[in-house]
Amino acid sequence: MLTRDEKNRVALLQGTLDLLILRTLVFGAQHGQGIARAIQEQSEDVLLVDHGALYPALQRLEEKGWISAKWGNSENNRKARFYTLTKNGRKQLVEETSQWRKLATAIGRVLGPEEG
Amino acid sequence: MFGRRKRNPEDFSEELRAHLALEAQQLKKEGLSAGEAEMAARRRLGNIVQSEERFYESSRWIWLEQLRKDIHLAFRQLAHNKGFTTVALLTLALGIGANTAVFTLVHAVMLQSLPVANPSQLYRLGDTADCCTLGGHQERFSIYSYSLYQYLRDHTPEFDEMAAFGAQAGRFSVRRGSVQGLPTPLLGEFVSGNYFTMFGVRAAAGRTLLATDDSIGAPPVAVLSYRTWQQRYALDPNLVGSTFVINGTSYTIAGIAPAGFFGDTLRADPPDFWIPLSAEPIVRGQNSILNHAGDHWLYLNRAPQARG
Repeated sequence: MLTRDEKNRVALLQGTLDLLILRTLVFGAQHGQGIARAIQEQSEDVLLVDHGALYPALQRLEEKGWISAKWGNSENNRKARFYTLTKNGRKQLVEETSQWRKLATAIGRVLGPEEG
Repeated sequence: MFGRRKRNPEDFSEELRAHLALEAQQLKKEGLSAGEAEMAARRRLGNIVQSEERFYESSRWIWLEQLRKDIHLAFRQLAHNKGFTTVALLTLALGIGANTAVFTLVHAVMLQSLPVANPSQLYRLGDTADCCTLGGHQERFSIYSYSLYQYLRDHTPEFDEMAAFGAQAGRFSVRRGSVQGLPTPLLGEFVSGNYFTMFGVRAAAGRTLLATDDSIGAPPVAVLSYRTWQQRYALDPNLVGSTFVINGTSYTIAGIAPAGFFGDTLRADPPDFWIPLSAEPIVRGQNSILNHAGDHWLYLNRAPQARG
């Protein structure tokens, strides 16, 4: 029923959702649905964000003080809860990004060159 | 663990509803019909209730909420099962009560120190509970005659203070001098003049016995126990200095022993008053044994000189 083929999508690794949310918010305040869409689009429809898991994750990040939230109106004038990256969140993003890159490189080395 | 909940569940549900609207709108824009878009949005969000539950469980107050519910349930069960509750409550009450009673007794009899100046430096000469008048030789001396007491007192200078007192309190006929009426039977104990000094006990009113009171020809005086003063004479301040007739002889009440002092021995019937040993021949008349060297009827205690 959906326009996109869900089978080609990859479920997110545990813990990576937080990183992606923080990254998405670098471009400015966004509501939950917008964040999910943005991740999907940025990953060229490869990454599938479980919407049910998204909101508890946002809640968690908010409690850690990495993002803050405010009710506002979306571009088409619907009420939505907008999230903004905090100073601490920015620091966390830098840290997690470098960690992720290290991990990805290391795993890449172990797996070896891509086979045809 | 402790912290204020930042957000209420209604706010969270509101956010999920906003998400559904936004997502449906987007899907419609992408070409789905209104009904399809709404259903797809709903499906992709998953179980809303589950999300809400996850939010709720992440709350820091959940444990408190559960505790409140547990307690509530416990009380409901107790109210439901009245017989069990009654038995449990009674068991607890009796158990606690019995424990308290036993502890009170142990505390009073075994743990609390004597109301005397230096309880740890107090010694009794002898360790048996012989009573009341013994004649002849004892295998282990615990009870002494008056002359033996005098000899020991005067020939053992390393004992700072050695006092003697009757192994048994006797019942005497006592009448308050100015008050006419029937005499009261009170328990009295013969003690040496340094008895109160040896214990380091001070009078609650008036004065205690002095060594000078314990000599032949001294004006006859007695010291009343605080308990008797309180229970029989309602703490009458005029009692000190008044005259009592004890077994037919007039005595002046020199003072009142302090509250909590019940004498030298722990017993159910502590003495009501103390009179000097030297009064023994007067009170007992021809039954006096004060000067019978063969009759042992005194216990001896020794203590370092009470200070202050």
